[in-house]
Amino acid sequence: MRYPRPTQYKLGTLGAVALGLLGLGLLLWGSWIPIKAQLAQVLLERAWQQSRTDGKPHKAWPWADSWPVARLTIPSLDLHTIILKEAGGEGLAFGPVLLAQGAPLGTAGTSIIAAHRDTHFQPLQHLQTGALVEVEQMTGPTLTYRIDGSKIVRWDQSGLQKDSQSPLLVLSSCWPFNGMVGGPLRYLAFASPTEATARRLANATSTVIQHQLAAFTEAASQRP
Amino acid sequence: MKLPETFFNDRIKDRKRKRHSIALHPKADLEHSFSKAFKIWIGAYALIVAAALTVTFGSQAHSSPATTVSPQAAPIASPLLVTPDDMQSGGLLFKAKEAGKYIEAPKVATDIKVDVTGPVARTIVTQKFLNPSDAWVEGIYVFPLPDTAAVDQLKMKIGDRIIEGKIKPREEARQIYEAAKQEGKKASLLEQQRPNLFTNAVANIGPKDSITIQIEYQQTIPRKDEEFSLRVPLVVAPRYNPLAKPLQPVIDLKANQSDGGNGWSSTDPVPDRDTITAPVLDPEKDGKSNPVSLSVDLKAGFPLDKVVSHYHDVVIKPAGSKEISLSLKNEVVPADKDFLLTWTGKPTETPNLGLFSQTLKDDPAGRQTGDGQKKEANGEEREEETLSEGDTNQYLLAYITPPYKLAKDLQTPPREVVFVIDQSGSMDGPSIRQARESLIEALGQLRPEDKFQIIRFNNEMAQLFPAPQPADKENLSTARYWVAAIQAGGGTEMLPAMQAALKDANPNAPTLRQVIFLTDGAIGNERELFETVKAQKGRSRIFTVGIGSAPNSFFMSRAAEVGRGTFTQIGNITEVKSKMAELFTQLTTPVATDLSISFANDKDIEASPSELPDLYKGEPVIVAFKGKDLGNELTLSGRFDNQPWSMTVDITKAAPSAAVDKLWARGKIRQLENERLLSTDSAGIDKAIETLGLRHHLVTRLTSLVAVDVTPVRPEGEAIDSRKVPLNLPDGWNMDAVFGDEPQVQPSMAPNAPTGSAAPMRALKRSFGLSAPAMDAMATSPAPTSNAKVAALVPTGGNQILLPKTATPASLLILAGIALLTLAGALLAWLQWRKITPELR
Repeated sequence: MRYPRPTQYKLGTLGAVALGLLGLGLLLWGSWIPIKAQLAQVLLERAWQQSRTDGKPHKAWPWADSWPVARLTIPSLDLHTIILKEAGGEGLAFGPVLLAQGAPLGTAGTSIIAAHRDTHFQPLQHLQTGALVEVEQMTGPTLTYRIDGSKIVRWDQSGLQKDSQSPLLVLSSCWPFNGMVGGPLRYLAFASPTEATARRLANATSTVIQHQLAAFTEAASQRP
Repeated sequence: MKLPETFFNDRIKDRKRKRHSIALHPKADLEHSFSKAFKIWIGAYALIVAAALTVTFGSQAHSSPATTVSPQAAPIASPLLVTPDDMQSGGLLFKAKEAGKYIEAPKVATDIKVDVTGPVARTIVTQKFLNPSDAWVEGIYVFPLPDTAAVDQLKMKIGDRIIEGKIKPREEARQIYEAAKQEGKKASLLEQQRPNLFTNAVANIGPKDSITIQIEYQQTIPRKDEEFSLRVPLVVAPRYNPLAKPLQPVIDLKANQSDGGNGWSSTDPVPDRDTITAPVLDPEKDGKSNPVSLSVDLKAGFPLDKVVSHYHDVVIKPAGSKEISLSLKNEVVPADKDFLLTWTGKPTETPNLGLFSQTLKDDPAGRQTGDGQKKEANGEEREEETLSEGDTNQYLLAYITPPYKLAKDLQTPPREVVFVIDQSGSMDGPSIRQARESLIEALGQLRPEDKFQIIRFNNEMAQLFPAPQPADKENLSTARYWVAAIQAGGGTEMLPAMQAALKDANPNAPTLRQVIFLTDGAIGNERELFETVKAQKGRSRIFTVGIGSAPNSFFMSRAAEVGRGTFTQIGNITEVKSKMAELFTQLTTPVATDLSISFANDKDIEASPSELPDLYKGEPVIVAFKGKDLGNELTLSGRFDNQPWSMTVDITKAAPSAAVDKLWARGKIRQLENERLLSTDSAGIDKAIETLGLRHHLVTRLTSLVAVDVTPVRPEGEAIDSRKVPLNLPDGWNMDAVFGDEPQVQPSMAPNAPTGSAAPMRALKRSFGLSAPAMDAMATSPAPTSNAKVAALVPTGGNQILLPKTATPASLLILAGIALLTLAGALLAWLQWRKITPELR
C-alpha cells in the first residue's frame, strides 16, 4: 500500500474545498429564489396596502418594473399572494403576474394569472374543484370565483383566446409540480365567477373594448 | 490501492522516501488540524443542507389539505360543451343545463354576399340553422367580424316571417329581449362584445325548426401599396395554411381599361375571364361540412390591373361595363379557409380623390338606412332636392390615393430624426437586444444630409449630443458605440424623454422632424403622455416601434396616431431588419404632409378623423365629412415635395352610397372612445356614443339591435329550457348529406363516459359529429367528467394566449448544490481516511 504525499493531500483538500464552495454557491442561489419570492411578497404587501387606500399603483421598491394590481386568496389552500402587472420576464420572481394577453381583472373576458410552480403557485397542486378564489381589486369590490376544473396543456396550445367575452379566471403554472426542469406543459385551473360576482361583471365594460375600438380609417392599422 | 507503474508511481516512491525523513510531530499536528476542519465541515454541511431543504420544500408541508385530488385525475373533459369564448368561427350555441356551458348546434349553410363599392364593402351573411332538439330552445350565435366592421342590420327569418332588428340602448334592448323571451315570443338580440366580436341571442326556437339569421355589416377595404384586399372570415381557426404553391387564378385586366374620369371609373370586363379554371384542392375530409356559398360584386372604382382570388376558385360574370361580379365556382366550399380577394389598380399620376356622398334626413326617432341609395337617379339632383328640406345632412367620404409614380422621383428633404430608446428594466433580455439592433439598423438608413439625435431613458435620461448633429461618418460611429453600450435596468420615466424628444429648436423649419420611439410601452401614465404629445408635437411626427413579445400596443398606436406617425411592431428579433427597412422606406418617402381639406362653406362641417395623417407611399387616407351644406367643391391642401400644394375637386360628381353616414359615425365613435380614455367626463361621451349608435343604426358598445316577433309562438305550458334529444331526424333533413358520412369532429371517447343507447340517436350523433357525452349533456346534462381529451372544440388558432415559463431552477440548483457538497465532503473524508489509515496499519 502506497500513500499520497502531503502536497497531494493539499491539492485534494483544495479541490474538495473548491467543489464544496461551488456546491454551497449553487445551494445558496437555489435557496435564494424561494426566499426572494417570499421577501418580495412582504414588500409588495406594503405597496398593496398603499394602493388599496389611495387607489393608485405603487411600486414596492423604487426600481421595480411592475406594481401590484390585485391580491389573490385561496382560503382552502391558505394561499395569499399579491398579483403583479406583467412587465418583462423578471416579474414572476416576485409574485404571480396577470398576463397582459388576457383580459384585465374585473372585466368580461379571460383573465390569466401565472406564477412559478415552485414558489407562489406551489400550493396549487392541492387545488380542488369547488375551491373558492378571491381576488381583491385595487378599487371596487372583491371578486369571488369558484374552481371548475383543471387541464394540462402545452404552453403554445393553451386553448385560451385573447378575444374572449365571458368572465373566466385562469390560474397557470408549470406542470408537473415536482418537476426539476422546465418543460412545455402547463397546468391550468379554471375558475368561473360566483353568481354575485357574475352579476357584477355582467355589465362591466372591458378596457380592452375601449382599447380595440375599430377604426374606420384603416390607414394606420392595416400597415403591416 | 494499486497505482500504475508510471511517473506518478515514481513520485510516490519518492514521497515514501521523504516520509521517513519527516519528523513525527509536524505530521501529527497536520493530522489534528485536518480532522478538526473536517468536523466543522461536516457540521456546517449538514446544517446548510437541512436549511436549504426546509426553505424549498417546507412550504409544501403546511399547505396540504387532508383529501387531495390530483389535478391529473380530474381534468375538465366535457367534449363539445363549450363557452362562447371557445368559438372561433360563427356558430349557434344551445344553452346546456350546466351554467355557462353551451352545445354547439350544427351549422347548416352559409351564404355570404359582398358588395364592394370603391373603398367600402358591405357584407350580408345569411346562415340557416336547425334546432335539432324537439324542445323550445334559446340559442346564442357568436361571430367574429373584421375590426372595422360596422354592424347595422339584423334580420331573423323564422319560417317565412322576417323580423327586422331595431337599434336600442344596450340595457333597454336586453330588457326587451328578456321580456319577449318570457312571453314566449321569438326574439333576437345582437350585441357587441368587442369591436370585432358580436353575439346574437335567439329566443324561442321551435322544435326542429329552422332559423335564418341575416347580419349585415360594412367595412373599409384595407390597402397595402397598390393592392386592395378583401378577406372574408369563413372560419377563424384553425387558420388555413396555404399550400406550398397557393392557388391564384389571375385575371388580367390590362387589355381594356377605361379612362380615369373622376378617379372612380369602373373597368371593362375581360373577354376571357371564364377561362380561369385553376382547380381547388379538396383539403382532406373536412371538405364536406359547413357548406358556404359566396359572391362578390366588385366595383373597384378605378382602373383595375389584376384581380386575384387566393385559395378559392371563382367564376367571373361580366355585369355590365361598370362592375365585376364573381362567385365561388363550386358554390359550396368547405369552410376551412378564409376567402381572400385582392385587386390592384393602375398607378396614377396625381393624388386621386375618390368621392362618395349621401344625403340623409335627420330623424333621431329611428332613421332608416339606404335612403340615399334608393332614390339615386342622379346624385346632383337628389342633393338639391333634399337640401331644401331643411333638416338634412350631407355626408361625404373622400378617399385619397397617393401618386406612386411621382413619389419615386421625389426628392426627400433633409430630415431631423430623433431616436428615443427605452432602457428600463422591463426591456431586459431579448427586448433590449432587439431595440439596439433596430436602432443600429436605423442609423444605417440615415443620409449624410440628415440630422440626428439619440435619447436613452430609464428612470434617468441621457442624450447622445447636446443638439442634433449631421449624420456623417464620425457621428454615426460615435452613435453606434453609444448604442451598443446601452444596457437595460431601472425604472421607466418616459415623460422627460418624450419632452426632450419633442423639444424643437426651430419649430417653423420646413424640414421634416421625425421622432422614433423604441419601447415596450410598459408605463402607467398614459394620459399624461398623450397630453404631452398633443400639446408639444409641433412639426414633429411620432413613430412608435413596439419591442418585445407583448408591447403596450394600445399606448403606442394611439401615441402614433396623436403624433401623426405610424406604429410598427417588432415581435421577433428576426424581423428587425425587414421591419425597420419598411419603416424607413416609409419615413423617407412621405408623399404629402400637412394635409387638410376645406370646403367653400366651412361652417358646421364635422370631419372624422378630424385631423388628417400624412400620406405615405402605398397608403390611402380615408376621411368622412358631415355637414348641412357641403357645397360643390372641396379643396385639399398640404405640402407635396415640401412645396405647398393644393387641389380643388368638384364633389357633385360623387357617387351615391348608403354607407357613408355609417362610416362617418364609426370613425366618430372611435374618436370618442379614444377621447373617453383621456377625459374625465366619461358619462357624457358614453351618451354621445349612444346617440350616434342610435341615429346611425349601428351596434356599438352601448347600443344593440333587438328583434321581437309580434305573436307568442311557444305554447304557455312548455318551458323554454327543457329539451330532449330527438329520436330521429326531422323530415327533409338528410344530415348525412349535409354533414357527410363521418363525423368531422373526432372526440376521443372516454371509457367511463355515459353513452347513448338508442340506435337512431347514435346515428344522429354520428351525423352531427357530436360525441355521446355531449348529447347526453344536452338531454340530461350531467357534468361529464372523464379522461377524454378536449380535442373536439378547443380552438388552435393564432389568437391563442401563449403561457409563460413558470418554473424556477431553484430545486435543480439546490440538488446540484447538495450533490456537489456531498462530493466535496466525500473527497475530504477519503483524504482523511487515507491520512489516518497509515497509522492504523
